[in-house]
Amino acid sequence: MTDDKDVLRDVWFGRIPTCFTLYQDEITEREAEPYYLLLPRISYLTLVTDKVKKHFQKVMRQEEVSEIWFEYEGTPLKWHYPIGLLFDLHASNTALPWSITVHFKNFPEKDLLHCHSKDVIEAHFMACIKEADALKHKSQVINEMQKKDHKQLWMGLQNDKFEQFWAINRKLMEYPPEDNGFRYIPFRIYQATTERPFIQKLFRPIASGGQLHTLGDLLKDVCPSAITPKGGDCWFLMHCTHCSVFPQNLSLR
Amino acid sequence: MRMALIMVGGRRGPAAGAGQTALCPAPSRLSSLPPALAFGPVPAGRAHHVTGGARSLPAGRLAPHVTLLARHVTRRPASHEGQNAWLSGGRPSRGVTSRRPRSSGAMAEPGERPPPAAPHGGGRSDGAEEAQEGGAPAGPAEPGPPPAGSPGSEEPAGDARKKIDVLLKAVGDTPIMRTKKWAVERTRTIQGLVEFIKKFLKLMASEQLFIYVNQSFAPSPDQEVGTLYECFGSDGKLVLHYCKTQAWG
Repeated sequence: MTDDKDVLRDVWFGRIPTCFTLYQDEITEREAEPYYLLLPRISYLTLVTDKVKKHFQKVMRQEEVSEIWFEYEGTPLKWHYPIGLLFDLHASNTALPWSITVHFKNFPEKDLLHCHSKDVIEAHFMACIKEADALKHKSQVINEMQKKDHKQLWMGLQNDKFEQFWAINRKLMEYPPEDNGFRYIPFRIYQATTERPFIQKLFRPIASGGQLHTLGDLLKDVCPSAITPKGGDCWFLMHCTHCSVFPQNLSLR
Repeated sequence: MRMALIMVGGRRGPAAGAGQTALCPAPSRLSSLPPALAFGPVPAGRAHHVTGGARSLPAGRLAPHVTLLARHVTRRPASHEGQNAWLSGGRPSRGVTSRRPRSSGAMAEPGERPPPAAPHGGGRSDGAEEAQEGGAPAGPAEPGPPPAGSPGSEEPAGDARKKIDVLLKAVGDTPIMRTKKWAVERTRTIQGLVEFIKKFLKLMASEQLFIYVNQSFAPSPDQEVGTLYECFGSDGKLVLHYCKTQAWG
């Protein structure tokens, strides 16, 4: 996987053209123009929308502004899901640009996590990386890294620096040749059709007979409904190669 | 450590009137919590923390299903049992009965009352756990631990109903919980668990509480404990560490 640099690059630089509009009931001093932005699929909404926030706050009175949150067609968008996942999950059939509504009031406590600073995003991101490595290498790789390596991963994501990120992430995606793969594949299956957050199970890259598992095998095993003709939308997300929809016969090694 | 007794309004054991909220053991308390995904701080007034009184309450005032449980509690007043059942949520009666024999493992070990400062509760708590297990009455109807190795074949609907054992351990100077092992619904979220622990320890709503898996990462608040159990559980239980400050960056 680490050899496929072009693929990694394409995944990294995936962008979604997005149009932000202020919610109609927000009180403004003058009309709020929509704001257009190319959103990186692998990043987080609250990490890349400083400009959006500034743009709309310009036309609002300070006392009308509290924590910003985003919504698409009535669904509050969870900032702790990668942007590409949010788009695939809620808006994949929509015409571009993706139209997101911006709110500054009535924060939906039930649906969204608060995000008061970038530190919160960083903590969430690092927790995801650590969880993935717990599955891949019993946390050995991430634990052997230094604090500055962790920081480099985060800064790479925050500043959209592919090389900086992958210089470290490469180590997280390696495994000893004799192992033939990770201990378990870190994956989550998000479905638009259920209320449950996601499916995540232990899944080895190699079958007991020694043959490599494919993505199709994985889906058959953990989410059979997704591959029946009637199955709901099922999107596949791997930590570290965030938000890629893979072909079903892809080898999971 | 004092007992934290919490009422969350809504359903109570039949015998529990407004005046005796101290008798919390009605395992239905969580069922009156809002849906699992409630992320904000708990609004003041939703939880009432009442101290004292639990142990002295006459058994007759216990909710029936709690009294039922009390049969298995030989060394502890029923109120402890009830607190364990606190997390049951959903369908209280069924939940409690199905895991009744195991619940005895949650009896707090009588002798053990260490000071709050318990850096890395690991060894000590493990020992305590053994003691708890040993003290459990081995009923013939024991359903046995959930299948630890083969969760893959279960239907989601069934998943939601079965409970898993969660072992809660304090880190650093965070107060310990005398009852460490809890039966928790698989669909309960980390956020739900955090709220429970905060109430149990009588922390302020504004105080933070972090939960860690494998002593390494903090699952996000909307993650379900059932999922974590399947991926990171061992020996039929999921070990979670909780802490008032960030422990494992």
